[in-house]
Amino acid sequence: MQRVDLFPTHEFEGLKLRAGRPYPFGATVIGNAVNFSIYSRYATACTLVLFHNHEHEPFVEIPFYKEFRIGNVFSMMVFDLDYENIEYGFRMDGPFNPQEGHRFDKTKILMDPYAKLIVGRDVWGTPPDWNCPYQYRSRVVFDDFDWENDQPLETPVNDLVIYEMHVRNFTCGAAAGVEHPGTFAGIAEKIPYLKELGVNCVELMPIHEFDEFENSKPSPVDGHMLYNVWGYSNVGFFAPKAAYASTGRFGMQVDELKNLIKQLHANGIEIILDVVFNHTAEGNENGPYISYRGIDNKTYYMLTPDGYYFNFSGCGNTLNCNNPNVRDMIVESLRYWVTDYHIDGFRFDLAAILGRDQNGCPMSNPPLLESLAHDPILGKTKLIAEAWDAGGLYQVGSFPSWGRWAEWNGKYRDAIRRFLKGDEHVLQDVKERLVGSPDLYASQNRGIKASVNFITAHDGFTLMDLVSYNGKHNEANGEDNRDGENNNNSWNCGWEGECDDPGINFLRHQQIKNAISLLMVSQGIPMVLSGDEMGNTQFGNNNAYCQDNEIGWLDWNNLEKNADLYRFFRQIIRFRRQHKVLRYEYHLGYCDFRNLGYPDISWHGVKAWEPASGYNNLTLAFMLNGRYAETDGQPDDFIYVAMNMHWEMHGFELPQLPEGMQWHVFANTGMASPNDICEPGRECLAENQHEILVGGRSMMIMVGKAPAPVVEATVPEKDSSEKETLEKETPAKEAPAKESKKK
Amino acid sequence: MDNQFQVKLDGDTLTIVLGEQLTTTNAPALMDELNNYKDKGVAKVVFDASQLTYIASSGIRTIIFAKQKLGGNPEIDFVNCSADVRSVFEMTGLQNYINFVSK
Repeated sequence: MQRVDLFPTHEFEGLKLRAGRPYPFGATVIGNAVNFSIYSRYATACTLVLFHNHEHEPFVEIPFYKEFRIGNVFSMMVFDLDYENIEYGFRMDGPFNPQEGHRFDKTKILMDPYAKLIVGRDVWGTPPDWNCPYQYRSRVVFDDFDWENDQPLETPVNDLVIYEMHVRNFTCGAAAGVEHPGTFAGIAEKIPYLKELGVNCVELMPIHEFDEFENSKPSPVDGHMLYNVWGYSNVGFFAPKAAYASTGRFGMQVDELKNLIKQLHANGIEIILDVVFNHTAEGNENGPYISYRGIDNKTYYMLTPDGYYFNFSGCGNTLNCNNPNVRDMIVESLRYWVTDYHIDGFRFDLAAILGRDQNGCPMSNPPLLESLAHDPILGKTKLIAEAWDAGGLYQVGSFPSWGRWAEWNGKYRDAIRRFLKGDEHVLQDVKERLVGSPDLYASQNRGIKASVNFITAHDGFTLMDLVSYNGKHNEANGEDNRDGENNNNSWNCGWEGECDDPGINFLRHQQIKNAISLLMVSQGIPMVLSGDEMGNTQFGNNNAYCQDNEIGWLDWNNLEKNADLYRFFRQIIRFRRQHKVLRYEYHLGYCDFRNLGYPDISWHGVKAWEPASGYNNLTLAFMLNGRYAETDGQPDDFIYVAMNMHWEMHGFELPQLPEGMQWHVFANTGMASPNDICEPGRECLAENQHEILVGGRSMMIMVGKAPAPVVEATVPEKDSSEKETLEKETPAKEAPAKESKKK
Repeated sequence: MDNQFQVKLDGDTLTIVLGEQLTTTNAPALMDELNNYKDKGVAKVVFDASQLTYIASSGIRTIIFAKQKLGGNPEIDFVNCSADVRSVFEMTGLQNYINFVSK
């Protein structure tokens, strides 16, 4: 039986129509009809424009009859469309009065803001036909992917090790060794690698549809093409980037991405999307008409009283996030990615903008952020804010959270970088950062899980560059090195850029091992930048947003060249995942509040129990009491971390352990590989139970536990040298002759 | 235009011999043809892909249709599938629907 509300009532040029359903917005298949629905507060008329796939000229333009509009929503059902083979858009009529905020232009064909499939940029780097009047084209999506039993993994947030990556840069390098470089399918091919590395969450830089040709141009330096590679410039909020799919040319990007997510989940790896709701690709008043500007400019954008675009994003416009209808669109988008794509979490780019009102003023109780915090469908979805914007609003530690929002902890990055390069007087700050930044997140019951710790991210130097360059080298971006962050807190270890001095290169590797060690023993959610584990360099470029070449692409040859780094990363990540005492959800008590014999955490220096050690405040140690971190009634081990960022070697007195336990050496960053780190669980018994020597700019990680009955038998053959060398030979070598402390 | 496929029902096995391409030009016709066998007790669908060199999204939808909408959750065999076509199935995770058979 066919429902009466699915019978056509009108006809236009042979197509059968009827008034549509206002909800949901976008194009929805209902029976043998497609329901088109679009909201515009100020439009006076709307026309549905239908194309055969890839055709320049539409085959029909159907006006929405007066009776097809309810309130401010135009909706219409079109029957018997071969919807797989059509693309659709809208023309909107209304006032063109920029001073009032209106920019309607019915000569423009506009993409559906709710389009779930967008075509027009299907194969990466294929120049578009700019004469085509409709560039970014909406299509109807199919919802027939077989997820089997998959669902978001809901890994406890404090157990995550996040790996931030770019879909294209990750596998585009010639040595990546994948069949489908630069695509979702390429990432799927690398899942065994990710598992071996030990990360359990990938964070993809923007995958919403964007245009790599936005502001593309030849580099004035050497003529190579500069693209919008990173994609922080959305065309649509519901559609995946077609050119990130090997099958994008077939319109199969939805399936390819879902298949990637399903495979990641099957391997215990979550997926977080970096989402950009702060602006769109339409730019300022000189930008193109893609969708929002022509559909309802005044609704979608924050405008000055004169009708110009506020630019809190630094990208020309600012999405009007706290307009109720834009807010709904954002919520709908996120719900869609969770329900239809099983996404585990979101990282919100320039999230401070989401807390600004329609005039751009920060709100104390932003409704969008509150809605997201309490949304039923997003109830178990990770929400991570980049808690600042380009308009100067900096909310690290104060982002409105309702106990739900985590933050990229920029203060962690800055303090740890300064500590690493030997800046003085940062120790107090570092202590806060190592224990989950209680100064920032202890209030409102936010806890350690609110702090996403990172030392490097896509913005800025890679870790190898952080220890190889004092200043940025962004000349290839074609902006005379003006772009990118100037204050990087980096130190080149004595030579600017790549060099063949073995001493300098050893120190650089040592510093990288220090960095990842600090990250992995810090309370909070660690985030690793893709490629850091193999010493990836961007040749000093700290803003490689436009480099679709060897600067931006991971060079997988580094995996062999810097095998020691990869091995170190692998082991230290495993170490973290094996020790619950490193992964608290809420802040520590700093005392023995359960009468277990030792405080949950205690601070030390070169003298046990005396953290104030002198040496320009460059030495520090802490001990975690594993009895406070039980798993199924079994206490964790004690962990002691000695950090010596001084350029001289120092002895660190070890705190005495409970009876029956002894100190074991897990890692010593001053040692050469393979004696720099053990396999977790197979640490070597320390010969001296009272003191360790920690080399200049080195760290040692010790494990306090009952010694294994026969230690020798448990040490694998390849690591047999570790037992003797990890401790005895400290330090491995003198600081390089060229080393000089950077000021 | 030639639809580039032939369909034959033999007992509970439906055999479809595909041409060189399965795209928007012929997939809708195949879909229509498959519709005729809906709820007819088809237990197995055999796609002979010996000549198939290119499959577009609409073609893949047809395979999904055969699996999901014919009724009875029939087994799907793809015979002599080229590496390129198979790759599309694998990238989109649809290989789980299909038995790849070489003859």
